[in-house]
Amino acid sequence: MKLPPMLLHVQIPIGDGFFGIWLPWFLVYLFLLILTVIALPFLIILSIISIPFGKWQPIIMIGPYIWRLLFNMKGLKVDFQQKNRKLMFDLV
Amino acid sequence: MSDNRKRILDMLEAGKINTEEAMKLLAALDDTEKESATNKPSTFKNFKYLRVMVDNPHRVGSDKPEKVNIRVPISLIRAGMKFTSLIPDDAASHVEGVLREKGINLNLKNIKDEDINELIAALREVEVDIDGGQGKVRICAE
Repeated sequence: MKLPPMLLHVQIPIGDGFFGIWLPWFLVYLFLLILTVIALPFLIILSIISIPFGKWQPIIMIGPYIWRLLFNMKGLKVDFQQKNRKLMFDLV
Repeated sequence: MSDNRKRILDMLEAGKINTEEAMKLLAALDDTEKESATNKPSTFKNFKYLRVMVDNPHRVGSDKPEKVNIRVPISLIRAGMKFTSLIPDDAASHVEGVLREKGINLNLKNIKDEDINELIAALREVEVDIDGGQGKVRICAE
């Protein structure tokens, strides 16, 4: 089973060096889940209204596509280095 | 059409074999091709990440970064490609038109996994020098 990223490792440049911190990325899912539950009735109504215009599919599919994107972000790493200074985002 | 098929049809045309024999040979050829296709190892399964590395030692002392290292999961690229199906038809046709003018024939609304695989396989080991040899950009799938 493929697990989504749970932690975000961030390194921010401070002075001549950098400061590293691990952030609880899994909290983003909780926040998004709440947001999805709140938005779902509105999305359903909006998609029903847009059936005659043929635009219902993107409205319904945007949610699952965003979740799919989030769950596939494990391993994403962006790293900028300048001497000892470093700016890095790593989803673990 | 494969060479073997053409050879069978040539033999039929020349009267060396009859229709029934040609049918048997073509059926046998189909079976062999199907078998080899199922046994063929997938060359794309091993790729997990697309890596972009920029190394520019001539930027030492400047404000810009000397090294950039970006690792993008292939699965994220696949998931991102699905968003192209959400692009409105008008916008998609406009983008396709502009790309066609530049010589790129791409159907944005209908990008398949095989197309993405081909793209990634093409990037397997690409190395490009930028800034007239002062820096290096390396893009590869790993």
